Amino acid sequence: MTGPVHLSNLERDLGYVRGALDRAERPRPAAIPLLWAGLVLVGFTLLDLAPTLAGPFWVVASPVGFLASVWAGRRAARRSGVRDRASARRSLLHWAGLLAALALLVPLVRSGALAGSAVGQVALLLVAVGYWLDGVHDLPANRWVAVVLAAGYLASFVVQRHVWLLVGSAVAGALIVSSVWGQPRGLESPDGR
Amino acid sequence: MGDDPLPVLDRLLEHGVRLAICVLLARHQEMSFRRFKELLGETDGSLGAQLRKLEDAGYLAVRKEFENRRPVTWYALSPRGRKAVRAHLDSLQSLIQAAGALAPRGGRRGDEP
Repeated sequence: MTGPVHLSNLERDLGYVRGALDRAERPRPAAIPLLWAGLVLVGFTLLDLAPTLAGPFWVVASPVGFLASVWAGRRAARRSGVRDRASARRSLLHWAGLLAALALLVPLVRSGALAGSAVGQVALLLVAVGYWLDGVHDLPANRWVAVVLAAGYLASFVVQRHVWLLVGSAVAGALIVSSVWGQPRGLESPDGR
Repeated sequence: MGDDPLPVLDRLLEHGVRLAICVLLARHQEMSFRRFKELLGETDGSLGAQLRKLEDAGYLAVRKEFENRRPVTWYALSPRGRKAVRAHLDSLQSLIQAAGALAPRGGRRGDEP
């Protein structure tokens, strides 16, 4: 199936295709950063006000939040009319890797090699790296969340009172901002034919 | 130079809308009719006709499902369509390189007086 072509038409067609590609972004459901903003605010506040509850909270909240994020991502893809399986798989592996790294801190805590506020500090640093890499490779807004997380990590060495409440509020704020900033226009409309 | 016929491309993909549909599917795997309409700015009738041509040629795989009780049609490239798009884009690249090699040095096509 071949035929003649004229360069003048070709240039116009390629410009049209380029424009369509530029507008076709993968859906970034705002529900995901908003969900994590809520979890971070509660989890970090517990570290200051009820430290014994913080560990069990994160053991439950992390996998539940992860599964809820996967569900929200799939729902957003269905609603937006773009199902980018390769990209979704990359995101899934990225965040599952971070979740696994955090779970692997448990043996360190159980053995006593990691204790007290160092547990939260190391977890914060791991999460900061996770957000930074996602910001570099996928969603630029997450770079700023990573910067806030890293700043929170440093603040945890300096601030004496209610440091986790302060850090949690800042990180939740950064996540809320990224939920607005990272949202492409026109992707949340309901679909149908 | 711009009017020289170059018999190397897939005629079905020489149409801008059909080429855009295939390139979008090569990038994003699966898209709904509504999303194509938003991205390409075509009417239902025109877009449906272009999609049907690609479907009839065996370039697209079509799947229907319901979302909130409303039917949604999803399109993906078939293996044949993926192969055709790759071959077409390779030909386009060769064509553009050839055009670049033939263009006057220091100026773009259309810059000539």
